[in-house]
Amino acid sequence: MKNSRYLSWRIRFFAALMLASYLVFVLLAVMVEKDDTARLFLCAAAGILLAAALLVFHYWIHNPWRQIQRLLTRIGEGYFPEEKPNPQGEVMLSPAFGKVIEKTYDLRHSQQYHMMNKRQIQYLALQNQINPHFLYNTLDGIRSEALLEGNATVAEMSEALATFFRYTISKVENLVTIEEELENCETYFRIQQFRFGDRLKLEIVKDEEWDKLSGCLIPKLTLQPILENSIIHGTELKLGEGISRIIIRRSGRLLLIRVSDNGVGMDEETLQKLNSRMNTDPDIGRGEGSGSIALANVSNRIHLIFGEDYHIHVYSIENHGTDVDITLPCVYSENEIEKVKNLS
Amino acid sequence: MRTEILRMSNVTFRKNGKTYLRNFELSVAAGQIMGLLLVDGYGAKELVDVLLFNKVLYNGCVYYCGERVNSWRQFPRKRNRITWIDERGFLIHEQNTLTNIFVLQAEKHYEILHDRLMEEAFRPYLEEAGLQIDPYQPVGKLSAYEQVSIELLKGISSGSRLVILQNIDNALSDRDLEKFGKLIRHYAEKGTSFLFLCSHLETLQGVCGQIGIMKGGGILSVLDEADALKQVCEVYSAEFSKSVRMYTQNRVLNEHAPEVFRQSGISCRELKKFGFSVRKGECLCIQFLDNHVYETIEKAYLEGVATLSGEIDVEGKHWDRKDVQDVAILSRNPDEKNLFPDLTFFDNVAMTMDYRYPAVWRDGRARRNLREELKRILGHDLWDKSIQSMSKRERYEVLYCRLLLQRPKVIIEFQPFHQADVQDRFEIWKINEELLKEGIAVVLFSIGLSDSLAIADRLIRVESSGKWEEYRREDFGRLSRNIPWISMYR
Repeated sequence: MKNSRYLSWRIRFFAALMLASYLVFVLLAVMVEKDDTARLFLCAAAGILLAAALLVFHYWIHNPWRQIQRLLTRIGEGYFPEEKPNPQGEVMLSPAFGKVIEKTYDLRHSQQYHMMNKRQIQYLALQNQINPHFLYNTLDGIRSEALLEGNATVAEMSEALATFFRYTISKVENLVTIEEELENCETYFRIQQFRFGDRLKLEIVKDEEWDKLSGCLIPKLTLQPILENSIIHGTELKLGEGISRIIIRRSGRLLLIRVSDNGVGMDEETLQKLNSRMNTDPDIGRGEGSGSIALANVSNRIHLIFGEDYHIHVYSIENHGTDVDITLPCVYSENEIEKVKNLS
Repeated sequence: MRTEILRMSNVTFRKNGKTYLRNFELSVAAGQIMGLLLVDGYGAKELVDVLLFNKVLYNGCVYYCGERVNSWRQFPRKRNRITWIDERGFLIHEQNTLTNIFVLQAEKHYEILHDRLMEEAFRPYLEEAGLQIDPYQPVGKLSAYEQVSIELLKGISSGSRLVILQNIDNALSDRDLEKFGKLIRHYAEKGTSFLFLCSHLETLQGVCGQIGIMKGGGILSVLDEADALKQVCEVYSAEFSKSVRMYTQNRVLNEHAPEVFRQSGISCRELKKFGFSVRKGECLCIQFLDNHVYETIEKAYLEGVATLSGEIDVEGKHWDRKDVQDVAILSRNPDEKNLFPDLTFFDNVAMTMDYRYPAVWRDGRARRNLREELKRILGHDLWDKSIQSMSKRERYEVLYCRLLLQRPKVIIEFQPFHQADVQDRFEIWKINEELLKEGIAVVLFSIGLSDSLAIADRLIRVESSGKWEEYRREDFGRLSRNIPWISMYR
């Protein structure tokens, strides 16, 4: 009975069953009016059936209702499930409710790629407005002039910038290997080092199984915005040496990446707001700072691509630094992503 | 490759409209001993409930042994195979070890019991743990260390991959903690994971590889470097550390102060004719490494049971238990056990001062003056507040007021820092400091020292063998380094 996944159908069916049982019991009660033993037996049977009915009500109607209630409460607070509702799966309130959820999901997802991935849009816009080849040629020209003038620093900076733009603008894929993402981080870091000099250090610690891990796919521009945050909001405001560390390891089917810094950290209230933001629409609570928007954007892209089991979490203690933990599945192809999302 | 045993992913847990765990993220690998330093203890109980019983979550999910066992979108059905050991212990003391292990397991039960088979099944665990106990002996006769070890073996033999240890430093002495630390490291090497919840950094550092800082129902950071941990902890106990440092530097004990309390001739198990005395304004800490002796003495003092041999003298005269005004006795968790929630604030504070001023109950002016005076001392007015609605800190203030009004010669406290987080411990410490300043002697009885060294002038350690050794403040540096505050004396 495919309708049995709808709570409205279950309630109607249950009510009908109770009414029918009541009528049968009334009829039997009239028939056995004079027979004490039969009456006693009928009462006992009624008691047992009532208990059974309560149990069925609890598991078949009340529990699913509570689940739906929780989902509705969360939707009211700004959360929306990232997985398409499964027609064979969860209990729905009614067919109409199921259609509303499905329609809203489609609407959100057609908009979300444009609305939530702002930076990607900006880069795409940049790509559309500026001919990338023009940009690279110009930077190459600057590099050549610099080399001719004997200015190796300027040559290196322009080469690094060209590499950086080539990665962020030209590569249009959503997913890249972690190795490519790390290389981009190193390029970005080299550029920042021209500004900060020896005050800035980057350490990358790789898992012992790096040879296998290096081909794992992650969303493009996952690490670089976080590293940028750690430099701008952490290390830049600090006196003394700033060390950023990227640690990559595998744990079972998970890819765990940590971006740490020994910067100024943040207070507990800010930390709490930041972590709460990772689970909600980044448009909610805007104006809280570009750093939190960047993190929320990355987190939401991870949710979109892999499902809500994968996310970002921030740890921080004021004046002692910040750690950003990224939890991703270990996938090597886009086919695997669908499987991972279905398991969530 | 690192294998995760436990992952709590963005868990938010609410109960009765209050959020106890907020965006809680925790990961424990197989064979890892992860510590959680409880800065304020908020959410610790709920964390254990979520892990053990899969309580319904508001957000997030929990994975255990690679399987999703709880999620906000589903109603979980069964509890997880995780062992929880806390300071109270869950063994039935009247039953023997084998019964506790094989019959009283939540995970599996044995209906037909054969003693010999149970013993054979359990003997390898005992040998591996290096425990030499009679498995047929009632558990109540075992030492604290043996009881905690049996609980651990119970969990491991039932197949638990994760063991939660909560505040066991209150039940074990520093020496037993060291031994227990070796035991859990042994099982960690074999793949069992541990989550150690505790309020003392020194206890965790001796055992755990990584330590998370838990405050306000969330984890602020996970650190594994000793220096970083020390710096971070000093942030959260800065005021406490500063106060203790100033106190210990400025503390001058009057060697000629008169003796106010003397207990002599205590005999219990291996302990023969133990005695101690304390001077006016002095703080003496007595640590019992045998929990049975401690419990006997605690029971004797609290219940007035005449099982304790020996004599008690107060200011050189034999103390009659009827003279309650001279000796104040506070049990464990005095904010719960020594206060009367159905009585008013006034009744609770004035109940022991009637020997000094019996008319206080009738005299309205006296009560008004008392109210003003207590308001001045505390800095705020608790007079009209009910005991039930008071916070833990306020309840300690009520106790403090009562003791000030009573003005006993000596206060005897049992495990005063029991189940207290950092802020509560500071509060307890401050109260004891104020009482010592008033010239009241304080005697602390304990098994685990906790924060006793932050206030004690002398320490007497009573071994299980019956021998005891006294340490003056200048000798505290000789004690083992996993005792809180020991760094101040080294």
